Amino acid sequence: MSLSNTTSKSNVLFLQRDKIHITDIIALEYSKDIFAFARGDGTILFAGEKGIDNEIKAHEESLLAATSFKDGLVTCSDDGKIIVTDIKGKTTLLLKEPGRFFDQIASANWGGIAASDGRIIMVLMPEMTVKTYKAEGCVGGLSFTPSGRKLAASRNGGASIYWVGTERAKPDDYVWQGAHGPITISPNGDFLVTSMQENALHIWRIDHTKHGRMGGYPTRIKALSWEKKGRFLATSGADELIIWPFHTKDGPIGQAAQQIPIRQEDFLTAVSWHPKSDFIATGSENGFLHLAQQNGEAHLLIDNLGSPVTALKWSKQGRYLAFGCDEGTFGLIDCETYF
Amino acid sequence: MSQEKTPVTVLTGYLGAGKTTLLNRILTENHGKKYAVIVNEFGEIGIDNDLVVETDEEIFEMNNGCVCCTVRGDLIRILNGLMKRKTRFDGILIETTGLADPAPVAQTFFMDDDIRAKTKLDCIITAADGKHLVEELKKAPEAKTQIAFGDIILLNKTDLMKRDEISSVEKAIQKINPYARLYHTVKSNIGLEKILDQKAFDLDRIIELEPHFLKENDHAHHHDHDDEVESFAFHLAGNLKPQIFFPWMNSIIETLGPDILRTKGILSFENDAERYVLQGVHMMIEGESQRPWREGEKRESRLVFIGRNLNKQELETGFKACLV
Repeated sequence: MSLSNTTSKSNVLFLQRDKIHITDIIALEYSKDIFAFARGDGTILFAGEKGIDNEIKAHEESLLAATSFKDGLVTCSDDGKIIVTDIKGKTTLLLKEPGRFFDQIASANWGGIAASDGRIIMVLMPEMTVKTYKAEGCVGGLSFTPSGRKLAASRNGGASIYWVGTERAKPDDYVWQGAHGPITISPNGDFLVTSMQENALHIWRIDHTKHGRMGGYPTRIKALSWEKKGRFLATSGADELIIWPFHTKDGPIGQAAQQIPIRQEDFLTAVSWHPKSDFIATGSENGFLHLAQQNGEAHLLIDNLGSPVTALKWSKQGRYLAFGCDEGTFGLIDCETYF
Repeated sequence: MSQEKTPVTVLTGYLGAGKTTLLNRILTENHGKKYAVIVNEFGEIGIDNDLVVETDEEIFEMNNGCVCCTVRGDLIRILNGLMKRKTRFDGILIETTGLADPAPVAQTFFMDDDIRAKTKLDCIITAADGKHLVEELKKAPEAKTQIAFGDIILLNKTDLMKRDEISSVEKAIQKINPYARLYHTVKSNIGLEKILDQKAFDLDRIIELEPHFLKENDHAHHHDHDDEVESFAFHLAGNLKPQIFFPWMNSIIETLGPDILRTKGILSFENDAERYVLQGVHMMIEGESQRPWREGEKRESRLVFIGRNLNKQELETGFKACLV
């Protein structure tokens, strides 16, 4: 595969400017080409190649985090609510905790949902019981392990892994001073990666044998995206696309990153690895979207969306790329011609 | 087309100083504005229109080798969440606990890029209990730090105080921070126009660095005693050499950063037609050219430090050495 010279804009299926922050985009399961755009005002838009076909008001005033859940998505907000919206647009209130500022959410394939407010992590089990954990510091990110049995939470002072399925009370702690935000676990379950307030990644081997700090980023690393087999991790935070290798025993610890120049002095805020190839979509602070290839080429998809790109997601089959920005511009690109 | 940055007002003050009363006053006044309020504990605040967020103050050190570079992790989280809403708030009010150091709150606005992009620290308001402040300043370092950080100080309970009592409290405040605006209040009763939208942290607003009350030569006597918070103002006529000033300033904040609470300056550099202004909290300092020096305006530099156990002589000598 190689990048063609097709001009970019002809492939944009729709582009809308609504001035409503795009919190996240979910590529829906079981429905290969439909996306849910979760927006900062509490609304969810379902859209595909024909444009928007449904708008749902899930939360009253705001929506702080979203993740995939069954055939739809689950969202949380500062109204203390956790709400599931299915593919047909039907909403179900799962939890209401007045006064809670839920701003992180994760779901597991077996139906568990975790959300956090500061140090408090609440895990909703499929039978609707709730387990509450108190983390050692303010939680900055949640992610279930690939098996789904454990929940990883980044926090002030490191990260913790909780055994949510059992009564084991004490989490497995990974300690490193500072505030940890977005968190991810490698698809093979060997590595834990967090993004820190100090513009660095921290990487631990899950078995505690090694850990390391990956610094040198000029801005905070807001997006982490795995290559399909988990051999590489693409990261935002620089004006180059930074890719860390994870195919050796210690992963990137002691290794150099691959750096693919994208657009000078326009720092990346979103990255999304194509589900089937070595292409990586990137979005920047100035609202530029690029399609980069791991061999080092980068091609402009769309320029100047007006505000930082906050979400970027490939459809399950990898034909469509959905994007959304901080100040509301969002849309869909058909990328078939690029492959 | 970026929206205007949302102004953030910090309400601080020692235990029982009237912070919650002030907060209620702001929220219940008929101003038609919508605020988000970040408090440590849901107190007796009853509000319909506004959003109240309860948080545990969570302070952490930045891993940049500076022990005074502390920020409020919980605020970063909450402020970033609030900025996702469609209609932003007219303002955000943060009430600290009575024993809190305002520095991590202020530094959060210097250190986090997303917060810098969408919000701005407007003003730190320190409420003080006039009846007890002198005692508190003697025994509680927190109370001193709060007075030192205030852009505005509300001296409560002045209706219950005799004139000489008031004047001794004022003197105690003035010794720590003569640059704050001081209001005598009863139950934090004050016009909102005097405390909101003050732009106290805008470099543009650094117009003069004159003490706001009492005269400079009225400066209180010096005590040699641990944990002394004082302010020093230096004034030099003529121009400074930037190639000497900036390295000196950097070395000062690097070595004395933990002890310097606030810094403000208006500076005149040689071969520079513009007035340079700077301000900082501990080691975080920012500066910019503000406007051209006017014709006939006297070229002079003023530098103010508010801090703990600072050596006035040393600072003065260093600053003087920057003169052309």
